Amino acid sequence: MTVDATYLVQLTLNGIALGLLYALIAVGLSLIFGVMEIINFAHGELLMLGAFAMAFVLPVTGLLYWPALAAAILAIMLVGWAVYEVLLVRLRTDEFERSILITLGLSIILIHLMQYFFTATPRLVDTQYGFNGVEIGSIRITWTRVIGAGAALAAFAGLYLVLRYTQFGRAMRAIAQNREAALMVGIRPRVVARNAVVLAAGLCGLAGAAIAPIQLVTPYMGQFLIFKAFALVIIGGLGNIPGAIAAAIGLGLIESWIGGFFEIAWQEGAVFVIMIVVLFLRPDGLFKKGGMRVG
Amino acid sequence: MTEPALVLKSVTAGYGDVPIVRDFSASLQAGSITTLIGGNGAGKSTLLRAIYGTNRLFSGQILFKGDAIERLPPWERLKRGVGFVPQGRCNFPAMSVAENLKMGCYTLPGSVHDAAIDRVTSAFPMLSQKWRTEAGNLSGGEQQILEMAMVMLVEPALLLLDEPSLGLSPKMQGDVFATVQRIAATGVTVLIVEQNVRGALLISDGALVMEQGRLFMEGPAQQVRTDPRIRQAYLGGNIQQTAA
Repeated sequence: MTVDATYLVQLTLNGIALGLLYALIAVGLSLIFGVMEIINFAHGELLMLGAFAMAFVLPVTGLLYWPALAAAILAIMLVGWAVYEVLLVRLRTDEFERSILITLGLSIILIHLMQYFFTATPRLVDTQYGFNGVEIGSIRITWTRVIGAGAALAAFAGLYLVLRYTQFGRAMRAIAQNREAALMVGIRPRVVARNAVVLAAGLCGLAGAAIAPIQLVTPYMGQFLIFKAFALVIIGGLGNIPGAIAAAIGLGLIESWIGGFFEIAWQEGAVFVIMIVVLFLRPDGLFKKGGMRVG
Repeated sequence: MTEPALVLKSVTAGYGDVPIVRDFSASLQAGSITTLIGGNGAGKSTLLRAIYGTNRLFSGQILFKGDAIERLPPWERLKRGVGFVPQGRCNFPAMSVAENLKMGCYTLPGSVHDAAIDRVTSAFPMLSQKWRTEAGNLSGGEQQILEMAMVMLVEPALLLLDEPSLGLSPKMQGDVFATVQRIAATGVTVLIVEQNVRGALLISDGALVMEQGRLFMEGPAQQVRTDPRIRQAYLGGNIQQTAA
Protein backbone atom coordinates (compact mmCIF):
# COMPACT_ATOMS: atom_id res chain seq x y z
CA MET A 1 0.00 0.00 0.00
CA THR A 2 1.46 3.36 -1.01
CA VAL A 3 0.74 6.34 1.19
CA ASP A 4 0.09 9.68 -0.43
CA ALA A 5 1.59 12.41 1.82
CA THR A 6 -1.22 14.86 1.06
CA TYR A 7 -3.81 12.25 1.90
CA LEU A 8 -1.99 11.45 5.16
CA VAL A 9 -1.86 15.13 6.17
CA GLN A 10 -5.53 15.49 5.31
CA LEU A 11 -6.41 12.47 7.46
CA THR A 12 -4.21 13.81 10.26
CA LEU A 13 -5.92 17.21 10.27
CA ASN A 14 -9.34 15.56 10.24
CA GLY A 15 -8.19 13.29 13.07
CA ILE A 16 -7.06 16.24 15.18
CA ALA A 17 -10.37 18.02 14.62
CA LEU A 18 -12.29 14.86 15.55
CA GLY A 19 -10.04 14.30 18.59
CA LEU A 20 -10.66 17.82 19.86
CA LEU A 21 -14.40 17.20 19.75
CA TYR A 22 -13.95 13.91 21.62
CA ALA A 23 -11.85 15.82 24.12
CA LEU A 24 -14.71 18.26 24.82
CA ILE A 25 -16.87 15.33 25.86
CA ALA A 26 -14.14 13.54 27.81
CA VAL A 27 -13.17 16.69 29.70
CA GLY A 28 -16.79 17.31 30.68
CA LEU A 29 -17.10 13.73 31.86
CA SER A 30 -13.88 14.13 33.81
CA LEU A 31 -15.14 17.33 35.46
CA ILE A 32 -18.37 15.68 36.60
CA PHE A 33 -16.56 12.56 37.79
CA GLY A 34 -14.01 14.64 39.67
CA VAL A 35 -16.60 16.65 41.58
CA MET A 36 -19.43 14.12 41.98
CA GLU A 37 -17.68 10.74 41.60
CA ILE A 38 -20.28 9.61 39.08
CA ILE A 39 -20.15 8.85 35.36
CA ASN A 40 -22.82 10.72 33.45
CA PHE A 41 -23.95 8.16 30.89
CA ALA A 42 -26.32 10.74 29.40
CA HIS A 43 -23.34 12.89 28.39
CA GLY A 44 -23.43 11.74 24.76
CA GLU A 45 -27.08 12.77 24.60
CA LEU A 46 -26.14 16.29 25.71
CA LEU A 47 -23.94 16.38 22.62
CA MET A 48 -26.85 15.10 20.51
CA LEU A 49 -29.11 17.81 21.96
CA GLY A 50 -26.41 20.38 21.16
CA ALA A 51 -26.37 19.20 17.56
CA PHE A 52 -30.18 19.36 17.34
CA ALA A 53 -30.16 22.82 18.94
CA MET A 54 -27.70 23.95 16.26
CA ALA A 55 -29.91 22.38 13.56
CA PHE A 56 -33.00 24.20 14.87
CA VAL A 57 -31.41 27.59 15.55
CA LEU A 58 -29.45 27.93 12.30
CA PRO A 59 -32.54 28.51 10.11
CA VAL A 60 -33.73 31.16 12.62
CA THR A 61 -30.42 33.04 12.43
CA GLY A 62 -30.40 32.88 8.62
CA LEU A 63 -27.66 30.19 8.75
CA LEU A 64 -25.37 32.51 10.73
CA TYR A 65 -22.91 30.17 12.46
CA TRP A 66 -21.77 32.06 15.56
CA PRO A 67 -25.14 33.15 17.04
CA ALA A 68 -26.46 29.62 16.50
CA LEU A 69 -23.36 28.16 18.20
CA ALA A 70 -23.78 30.47 21.20
CA ALA A 71 -27.50 29.70 21.46
CA ALA A 72 -26.86 25.94 21.29
CA ILE A 73 -24.22 26.12 24.03
CA LEU A 74 -26.51 28.17 26.28
CA ALA A 75 -29.43 25.81 25.65
CA ILE A 76 -27.38 22.76 26.65
CA MET A 77 -26.04 24.53 29.74
CA LEU A 78 -29.67 25.06 30.72
CA VAL A 79 -30.38 21.38 30.09
CA GLY A 80 -27.35 20.52 32.27
CA TRP A 81 -28.66 22.77 35.03
CA ALA A 82 -32.09 21.09 34.87
CA VAL A 83 -30.57 17.59 34.85
CA TYR A 84 -28.56 18.47 37.95
CA GLU A 85 -31.39 20.15 39.85
CA VAL A 86 -33.98 17.48 39.04
CA LEU A 87 -31.91 14.28 39.15
CA LEU A 88 -28.25 14.46 40.08
CA VAL A 89 -28.73 16.64 43.17
CA ARG A 90 -30.41 13.65 44.82
CA LEU A 91 -27.33 11.44 44.48
CA ARG A 92 -24.83 11.01 47.28
CA THR A 93 -21.18 10.37 46.46
CA ASP A 94 -21.44 6.75 47.64
CA GLU A 95 -24.32 5.99 45.23
CA PHE A 96 -22.31 5.09 42.14
CA GLU A 97 -24.62 2.24 41.08
CA ARG A 98 -27.70 4.45 41.41
CA SER A 99 -25.97 7.13 39.34
CA ILE A 100 -25.40 4.62 36.52
CA LEU A 101 -29.08 3.66 36.46
CA ILE A 102 -30.27 7.26 36.57
CA THR A 103 -27.95 8.63 33.90
CA LEU A 104 -28.29 5.58 31.64
CA GLY A 105 -32.07 5.82 31.99
CA LEU A 106 -31.95 9.51 31.16
CA SER A 107 -29.83 8.74 28.09
CA ILE A 108 -32.39 6.23 26.77
CA ILE A 109 -35.32 8.57 27.51
CA LEU A 110 -33.65 11.47 25.70
CA ILE A 111 -32.84 9.37 22.63
CA HIS A 112 -36.39 8.08 22.32
CA LEU A 113 -38.02 11.41 23.06
CA MET A 114 -35.98 13.00 20.27
CA GLN A 115 -36.84 10.13 17.94
CA TYR A 116 -40.55 10.43 18.82
CA PHE A 117 -40.69 14.16 18.20
CA PHE A 118 -38.19 14.56 15.37
CA THR A 119 -37.90 11.04 13.82
CA ALA A 120 -34.71 9.07 13.35
CA THR A 121 -34.15 10.45 9.85
CA PRO A 122 -30.61 11.86 9.70
CA ARG A 123 -30.47 15.63 9.24
CA LEU A 124 -27.95 17.50 7.15
CA VAL A 125 -27.13 20.83 8.78
CA ASP A 126 -26.10 23.73 6.58
CA THR A 127 -24.39 26.93 7.73
CA GLN A 128 -23.27 30.20 6.18
CA TYR A 129 -19.96 28.47 5.42
CA GLY A 130 -21.55 25.61 3.46
CA PHE A 131 -18.73 23.39 2.21
CA ASN A 132 -16.30 26.29 1.85
CA GLY A 133 -12.91 25.73 3.32
CA VAL A 134 -9.24 26.62 3.41
CA GLU A 135 -6.85 25.21 0.88
CA ILE A 136 -3.16 24.92 1.57
CA GLY A 137 -1.57 23.42 -1.53
CA SER A 138 -3.56 20.35 -2.29
CA ILE A 139 -4.84 20.02 1.27
CA ARG A 140 -8.37 21.18 1.91
CA ILE A 141 -10.26 21.48 5.14
CA THR A 142 -13.75 22.95 5.57
CA TRP A 143 -14.32 26.09 7.63
CA THR A 144 -16.74 24.26 9.87
CA ARG A 145 -13.95 21.85 10.86
CA VAL A 146 -11.42 24.66 11.32
CA ILE A 147 -13.85 26.66 13.45
CA GLY A 148 -14.94 23.60 15.42
CA ALA A 149 -11.31 22.77 16.24
CA GLY A 150 -10.52 26.41 17.03
CA ALA A 151 -13.55 26.73 19.31
CA ALA A 152 -12.54 23.54 21.12
CA LEU A 153 -9.00 24.86 21.64
CA ALA A 154 -10.39 28.19 22.89
CA ALA A 155 -12.70 26.29 25.27
CA PHE A 156 -9.76 24.30 26.66
CA ALA A 157 -7.72 27.46 27.15
CA GLY A 158 -10.66 29.10 28.91
CA LEU A 159 -11.24 26.03 31.05
CA TYR A 160 -7.55 25.94 32.01
CA LEU A 161 -7.66 29.58 33.11
CA VAL A 162 -10.87 29.05 35.08
CA LEU A 163 -9.64 25.92 36.86
CA ARG A 164 -6.21 27.35 37.56
CA TYR A 165 -6.84 30.96 38.44
CA THR A 166 -10.38 31.41 39.76
CA GLN A 167 -11.93 30.31 43.07
CA PHE A 168 -14.90 29.06 40.99
CA GLY A 169 -12.62 26.59 39.19
CA ARG A 170 -10.25 25.86 42.07
CA ALA A 171 -13.25 24.76 44.14
CA MET A 172 -13.90 22.01 41.55
CA ARG A 173 -10.30 20.82 41.76
CA ALA A 174 -10.46 21.08 45.54
CA ILE A 175 -13.48 18.78 45.83
CA ALA A 176 -11.91 16.34 43.38
CA GLN A 177 -8.75 16.20 45.53
CA ASN A 178 -10.17 16.07 49.04
CA ARG A 179 -13.86 16.33 49.81
CA GLU A 180 -13.34 16.69 53.55
CA ALA A 181 -10.75 19.45 53.13
CA ALA A 182 -13.23 21.20 50.83
CA LEU A 183 -15.77 21.24 53.66
CA MET A 184 -13.04 22.42 56.01
CA VAL A 185 -12.51 25.58 53.96
CA GLY A 186 -16.23 26.20 53.56
CA ILE A 187 -16.87 24.99 50.01
CA ARG A 188 -20.50 24.12 49.31
CA PRO A 189 -20.35 20.77 47.46
CA ARG A 190 -23.77 21.05 45.81
CA VAL A 191 -23.09 24.48 44.37
CA VAL A 192 -19.75 23.33 42.98
CA ALA A 193 -21.30 20.11 41.61
CA ARG A 194 -24.01 22.13 39.84
CA ASN A 195 -21.36 24.45 38.39
CA ALA A 196 -19.35 21.47 37.14
CA VAL A 197 -22.39 19.87 35.49
CA VAL A 198 -23.40 23.13 33.80
CA LEU A 199 -19.83 23.74 32.61
CA ALA A 200 -19.52 20.16 31.34
CA ALA A 201 -22.88 20.50 29.57
CA GLY A 202 -21.64 23.70 27.95
CA LEU A 203 -18.58 21.86 26.59
CA CYS A 204 -20.89 19.12 25.29
CA GLY A 205 -23.19 21.71 23.74
CA LEU A 206 -20.19 23.21 21.98
CA ALA A 207 -19.10 19.77 20.74
CA GLY A 208 -22.60 18.96 19.48
CA ALA A 209 -23.08 22.32 17.79
CA ALA A 210 -19.64 22.14 16.17
CA ILE A 211 -20.16 18.58 14.96
CA ALA A 212 -23.65 19.26 13.53
CA PRO A 213 -22.46 20.77 10.21
CA ILE A 214 -19.74 18.10 9.89
CA GLN A 215 -21.73 14.90 10.26
CA LEU A 216 -25.37 13.84 10.04
CA VAL A 217 -27.48 14.68 13.07
CA THR A 218 -29.55 11.82 14.51
CA PRO A 219 -30.99 10.99 17.95
CA TYR A 220 -28.43 8.16 18.18
CA MET A 221 -25.30 10.16 17.41
CA GLY A 222 -24.19 10.43 21.05
CA GLN A 223 -24.79 6.83 21.99
CA PHE A 224 -21.36 5.34 21.32
CA LEU A 225 -19.50 8.52 22.15
CA ILE A 226 -20.07 8.06 25.88
CA PHE A 227 -18.22 4.74 25.84
CA LYS A 228 -15.31 6.24 23.93
CA ALA A 229 -15.26 9.24 26.23
CA PHE A 230 -15.40 7.03 29.33
CA ALA A 231 -12.42 5.03 28.07
CA LEU A 232 -10.58 8.26 27.25
CA VAL A 233 -11.09 9.55 30.77
CA ILE A 234 -9.48 6.37 32.15
CA ILE A 235 -6.71 6.23 29.53
CA GLY A 236 -5.93 9.89 30.21
CA GLY A 237 -5.50 9.09 33.93
CA LEU A 238 -8.78 9.40 35.84
CA GLY A 239 -9.20 13.06 36.74
CA ASN A 240 -6.27 14.27 34.63
CA ILE A 241 -7.71 16.83 32.21
CA PRO A 242 -4.66 17.38 29.94
CA GLY A 243 -4.31 13.57 29.92
CA ALA A 244 -7.90 13.18 28.70
CA ILE A 245 -7.31 15.80 25.97
CA ALA A 246 -4.11 14.07 24.79
CA ALA A 247 -5.83 10.66 24.77
CA ALA A 248 -8.79 12.11 22.84
CA ILE A 249 -6.58 13.63 20.15
CA GLY A 250 -4.71 10.32 19.91
CA LEU A 251 -8.02 8.50 19.45
CA GLY A 252 -9.20 10.98 16.82
CA LEU A 253 -5.98 10.46 14.86
CA ILE A 254 -6.12 6.66 15.07
CA GLU A 255 -9.77 6.66 14.06
CA SER A 256 -9.11 8.94 11.11
CA TRP A 257 -6.10 6.93 9.91
CA ILE A 258 -7.91 3.59 10.23
CA GLY A 259 -10.93 5.01 8.40
CA GLY A 260 -8.67 6.42 5.70
CA PHE A 261 -6.53 3.38 5.04
CA PHE A 262 -8.87 0.47 5.75
CA GLU A 263 -12.49 -0.31 5.17
CA ILE A 264 -14.77 1.92 7.20
CA ALA A 265 -16.20 -1.15 8.98
CA TRP A 266 -12.87 -1.54 10.78
CA GLN A 267 -12.92 1.95 12.19
CA GLU A 268 -15.13 1.62 15.29
CA GLY A 269 -14.06 -1.93 16.14
CA ALA A 270 -10.35 -1.18 15.84
CA VAL A 271 -10.67 1.90 18.03
CA PHE A 272 -12.21 -0.11 20.86
CA VAL A 273 -9.64 -2.94 20.42
CA ILE A 274 -6.84 -0.39 20.80
CA MET A 275 -8.47 1.14 23.87
CA ILE A 276 -8.93 -2.29 25.50
CA VAL A 277 -5.27 -3.16 24.80
CA VAL A 278 -4.10 0.15 26.30
CA LEU A 279 -6.21 -0.45 29.41
CA PHE A 280 -4.79 -3.98 29.75
CA LEU A 281 -1.23 -2.69 29.49
CA ARG A 282 -1.76 0.44 31.61
CA PRO A 283 -4.85 -0.09 33.81
CA ASP A 284 -4.38 3.32 35.44
CA GLY A 285 -4.08 5.09 32.10
CA LEU A 286 -1.17 6.69 30.30
CA PHE A 287 -0.84 9.77 32.49
CA LYS A 288 -0.68 10.60 36.18
CA LYS A 289 -3.98 9.92 37.87
CA GLY A 290 -6.23 12.02 40.05
CA GLY A 291 -6.79 15.40 41.57
CA MET A 292 -8.31 17.05 38.49
CA ARG A 293 -4.83 18.08 37.46
CA VAL A 294 -4.66 20.96 35.02
CA GLY A 295 -0.95 20.96 34.32
CA MET B 1 -15.33 34.41 84.46
CA THR B 2 -15.86 35.11 80.75
CA GLU B 3 -18.84 33.91 78.73
CA PRO B 4 -18.41 30.36 77.37
CA ALA B 5 -17.38 30.29 73.70
CA LEU B 6 -19.13 26.98 73.12
CA VAL B 7 -21.95 25.28 74.98
CA LEU B 8 -23.09 21.76 74.16
CA LYS B 9 -26.48 20.79 75.56
CA SER B 10 -27.45 17.11 75.53
CA VAL B 11 -25.86 16.52 72.13
CA THR B 12 -26.60 13.16 70.52
CA ALA B 13 -24.84 12.68 67.19
CA GLY B 14 -23.57 10.00 64.83
CA TYR B 15 -23.71 8.70 61.27
CA GLY B 16 -26.70 7.41 59.33
CA ASP B 17 -29.12 5.96 61.88
CA VAL B 18 -26.46 5.19 64.48
CA PRO B 19 -25.93 7.63 67.34
CA ILE B 20 -22.37 7.48 68.69
CA VAL B 21 -22.21 10.51 70.97
CA ARG B 22 -25.09 10.45 73.48
CA ASP B 23 -26.51 13.19 75.62
CA PHE B 24 -23.21 15.06 75.81
CA SER B 25 -23.17 18.40 77.63
CA ALA B 26 -20.17 20.64 78.22
CA SER B 27 -19.00 24.23 77.88
CA LEU B 28 -15.67 25.75 76.82
CA GLN B 29 -14.39 29.07 78.16
CA ALA B 30 -13.34 31.60 75.55
CA GLY B 31 -9.58 31.55 74.86
CA SER B 32 -9.04 28.21 76.59
CA ILE B 33 -7.47 24.99 75.31
CA THR B 34 -9.48 21.88 76.13
CA THR B 35 -8.38 18.32 75.43
CA LEU B 36 -11.03 15.73 74.64
CA ILE B 37 -9.86 12.35 75.92
CA GLY B 38 -11.32 8.91 75.25
CA GLY B 39 -10.52 5.47 73.95
CA ASN B 40 -10.89 4.36 70.34
CA GLY B 41 -14.52 4.59 69.28
CA ALA B 42 -15.50 6.71 72.29
CA GLY B 43 -16.97 9.31 69.93
CA LYS B 44 -14.35 12.08 70.12
CA SER B 45 -14.11 12.73 66.36
CA THR B 46 -17.88 12.32 66.06
CA LEU B 47 -18.37 15.09 68.60
CA LEU B 48 -16.00 17.44 66.74
CA ARG B 49 -17.82 16.71 63.47
CA ALA B 50 -21.16 17.38 65.13
CA ILE B 51 -19.91 20.78 66.33
CA TYR B 52 -18.76 21.62 62.76
CA GLY B 53 -21.86 20.08 61.18
CA THR B 54 -20.44 17.33 58.96
CA ASN B 55 -22.38 14.45 60.47
CA ARG B 56 -25.87 13.85 61.80
CA LEU B 57 -27.10 15.58 64.94
CA PHE B 58 -29.98 13.56 66.35
CA SER B 59 -30.85 15.93 69.19
CA GLY B 60 -29.42 18.58 71.47
CA GLN B 61 -28.24 22.13 71.07
CA ILE B 62 -24.92 23.69 70.11
CA LEU B 63 -24.48 27.31 71.21
CA PHE B 64 -21.55 29.29 69.81
CA LYS B 65 -21.08 32.72 71.38
CA GLY B 66 -24.64 32.35 72.64
CA ASP B 67 -26.21 31.58 69.24
CA ALA B 68 -27.67 28.20 68.31
CA ILE B 69 -25.70 26.87 65.32
CA GLU B 70 -26.81 23.25 65.19
CA ARG B 71 -29.04 23.79 62.16
CA LEU B 72 -26.42 25.65 60.12
CA PRO B 73 -24.38 23.94 57.38
CA PRO B 74 -20.58 23.75 57.91
CA TRP B 75 -19.79 26.75 55.68
CA GLU B 76 -22.12 28.96 57.70
CA ARG B 77 -20.52 27.78 60.95
CA LEU B 78 -17.11 28.57 59.46
CA LYS B 79 -18.27 32.06 58.52
CA ARG B 80 -19.41 32.57 62.13
CA GLY B 81 -15.99 31.56 63.44
CA VAL B 82 -16.01 27.79 63.95
CA GLY B 83 -12.91 26.24 62.33
CA PHE B 84 -12.32 22.50 62.04
CA VAL B 85 -9.17 20.62 61.04
CA PRO B 86 -10.21 16.97 60.59
CA GLN B 87 -8.08 13.93 61.29
CA GLY B 88 -5.62 12.71 58.66
CA ARG B 89 -4.26 14.69 55.77
CA CYS B 90 -6.82 17.35 55.04
CA ASN B 91 -5.41 19.54 52.28
CA PHE B 92 -5.44 19.61 48.49
CA PRO B 93 -2.43 17.44 47.64
CA ALA B 94 -2.16 18.32 43.93
CA MET B 95 -2.30 22.07 44.62
CA SER B 96 0.63 24.22 45.68
CA VAL B 97 0.89 25.69 49.18
CA ALA B 98 -0.11 29.04 47.66
CA GLU B 99 -3.24 27.53 46.09
CA ASN B 100 -4.14 25.72 49.32
CA LEU B 101 -3.98 29.02 51.19
CA LYS B 102 -6.08 30.65 48.48
CA MET B 103 -8.68 27.92 49.04
CA GLY B 104 -8.52 28.62 52.77
CA CYS B 105 -9.82 32.10 51.87
CA TYR B 106 -12.84 30.60 50.10
CA THR B 107 -15.45 32.12 52.42
CA LEU B 108 -13.71 35.52 52.57
CA PRO B 109 -14.34 38.41 50.16
CA GLY B 110 -11.67 38.60 47.44
CA SER B 111 -10.47 42.01 48.65
CA VAL B 112 -9.07 40.59 51.90
CA HIS B 113 -7.40 37.43 50.53
CA ASP B 114 -3.91 38.91 50.23
CA ALA B 115 -3.98 40.47 53.71
CA ALA B 116 -5.21 37.22 55.26
CA ILE B 117 -2.51 35.19 53.51
CA ASP B 118 0.19 37.72 54.55
CA ARG B 119 -0.95 37.47 58.16
CA VAL B 120 -0.86 33.68 58.18
CA THR B 121 2.47 33.37 56.37
CA SER B 122 3.99 35.79 58.90
CA ALA B 123 2.82 33.46 61.66
CA PHE B 124 4.00 30.35 59.79
CA PRO B 125 7.11 31.37 57.78
CA MET B 126 7.61 27.77 56.57
CA LEU B 127 4.66 28.29 54.23
CA SER B 128 6.44 31.09 52.35
CA GLN B 129 9.51 28.91 51.90
CA LYS B 130 7.40 26.10 50.38
CA TRP B 131 5.15 28.47 48.41
CA ARG B 132 5.18 26.56 45.11
CA THR B 133 5.52 23.05 46.56
CA GLU B 134 2.52 20.76 46.10
CA ALA B 135 0.93 20.10 49.49
CA GLY B 136 1.18 16.35 48.90
CA ASN B 137 4.97 16.68 48.78
CA LEU B 138 5.28 18.40 52.19
CA SER B 139 6.29 16.41 55.28
CA GLY B 140 3.52 15.28 57.64
CA GLY B 141 4.28 18.06 60.12
CA GLU B 142 4.38 20.70 57.37
CA GLN B 143 1.05 19.50 56.06
CA GLN B 144 -0.46 19.75 59.54
CA ILE B 145 0.81 23.32 59.90
CA LEU B 146 -0.58 24.13 56.43
CA GLU B 147 -3.99 22.74 57.39
CA MET B 148 -4.13 24.79 60.58
CA ALA B 149 -3.04 27.85 58.61
CA MET B 150 -5.80 27.25 56.02
CA VAL B 151 -8.39 27.43 58.79
CA MET B 152 -6.65 30.31 60.61
CA LEU B 153 -7.09 32.44 57.45
CA VAL B 154 -10.71 33.07 58.42
CA GLU B 155 -9.66 34.02 61.99
CA PRO B 156 -11.93 31.53 63.76
CA ALA B 157 -12.89 32.14 67.38
CA LEU B 158 -13.16 28.38 67.95
CA LEU B 159 -10.68 25.87 66.52
CA LEU B 160 -11.52 22.16 66.54
CA LEU B 161 -8.44 19.99 66.02
CA ASP B 162 -8.74 16.25 65.45
CA GLU B 163 -5.49 14.39 66.11
CA PRO B 164 -3.13 17.10 64.86
CA SER B 165 0.02 15.20 65.88
CA LEU B 166 -1.03 11.84 64.41
CA GLY B 167 1.87 10.14 62.64
CA LEU B 168 4.38 12.90 63.41
CA SER B 169 7.85 12.54 64.92
CA PRO B 170 8.21 13.62 68.59
CA LYS B 171 10.00 16.78 67.42
CA MET B 172 7.19 17.66 65.01
CA GLN B 173 4.58 16.86 67.66
CA GLY B 174 6.26 19.43 69.90
CA ASP B 175 6.14 21.98 67.05
CA VAL B 176 2.44 21.32 66.50
CA PHE B 177 1.64 21.70 70.23
CA ALA B 178 3.66 24.93 70.34
CA THR B 179 1.65 26.17 67.34
CA VAL B 180 -1.62 25.35 69.09
CA GLN B 181 -0.45 27.30 72.15
CA ARG B 182 0.46 30.28 69.98
CA ILE B 183 -2.97 30.19 68.32
CA ALA B 184 -4.75 30.02 71.71
CA ALA B 185 -2.62 32.90 72.97
CA THR B 186 -4.32 35.12 70.37
CA GLY B 187 -7.69 34.48 72.07
CA VAL B 188 -8.87 31.51 70.00
CA THR B 189 -10.72 28.78 71.91
CA VAL B 190 -9.27 25.37 71.07
CA LEU B 191 -10.88 21.95 71.45
CA ILE B 192 -8.36 19.25 70.66
CA VAL B 193 -8.63 15.50 70.26
CA GLU B 194 -5.16 14.00 70.56
CA GLN B 195 -3.63 10.52 70.68
CA ASN B 196 -0.71 12.06 72.57
CA VAL B 197 -2.87 12.72 75.64
CA ARG B 198 0.14 13.52 77.79
CA GLY B 199 1.38 16.25 75.44
CA ALA B 200 -2.08 17.70 74.88
CA LEU B 201 -2.92 17.88 78.58
CA LEU B 202 0.29 19.77 79.26
CA ILE B 203 -0.79 22.63 77.00
CA SER B 204 -4.47 22.51 78.00
CA ASP B 205 -6.49 24.45 80.52
CA GLY B 206 -9.30 21.93 80.73
CA ALA B 207 -10.13 18.35 79.80
CA LEU B 208 -13.23 16.39 78.90
CA VAL B 209 -13.17 12.61 79.15
CA MET B 210 -15.53 10.52 77.02
CA GLU B 211 -16.48 6.91 77.41
CA GLN B 212 -18.84 5.11 75.04
CA GLY B 213 -20.14 8.38 73.67
CA ARG B 214 -20.93 9.97 77.02
CA LEU B 215 -19.16 12.51 79.19
CA PHE B 216 -17.30 10.58 81.86
CA MET B 217 -15.31 13.34 83.57
CA GLU B 218 -14.49 17.01 83.15
CA GLY B 219 -12.27 19.43 84.97
CA PRO B 220 -9.04 21.42 84.85
CA ALA B 221 -6.30 19.65 82.83
CA GLN B 222 -4.04 19.51 85.90
CA GLN B 223 -6.72 17.73 87.90
CA VAL B 224 -7.67 15.29 85.14
CA ARG B 225 -4.08 14.31 84.39
CA THR B 226 -3.43 13.43 88.02
CA ASP B 227 -6.62 11.39 88.36
CA PRO B 228 -5.55 7.79 88.93
CA ARG B 229 -8.18 6.39 86.55
CA ILE B 230 -7.05 8.66 83.73
CA ARG B 231 -3.38 7.97 84.40
CA GLN B 232 -4.00 4.25 84.24
CA ALA B 233 -6.24 4.33 81.17
CA TYR B 234 -4.54 6.95 78.99
CA LEU B 235 -1.21 8.06 80.40
CA GLY B 236 0.52 4.88 81.44
CA GLY B 237 2.45 6.30 84.37
CA ASN B 238 3.92 9.60 85.43
CA ILE B 239 3.48 12.74 83.41
CA GLN B 240 6.61 14.60 82.48
CA GLN B 241 7.04 17.87 80.66
CA THR B 242 7.61 16.46 77.14
CA ALA B 243 5.75 18.93 75.02
CA ALA B 244 5.40 22.62 74.55
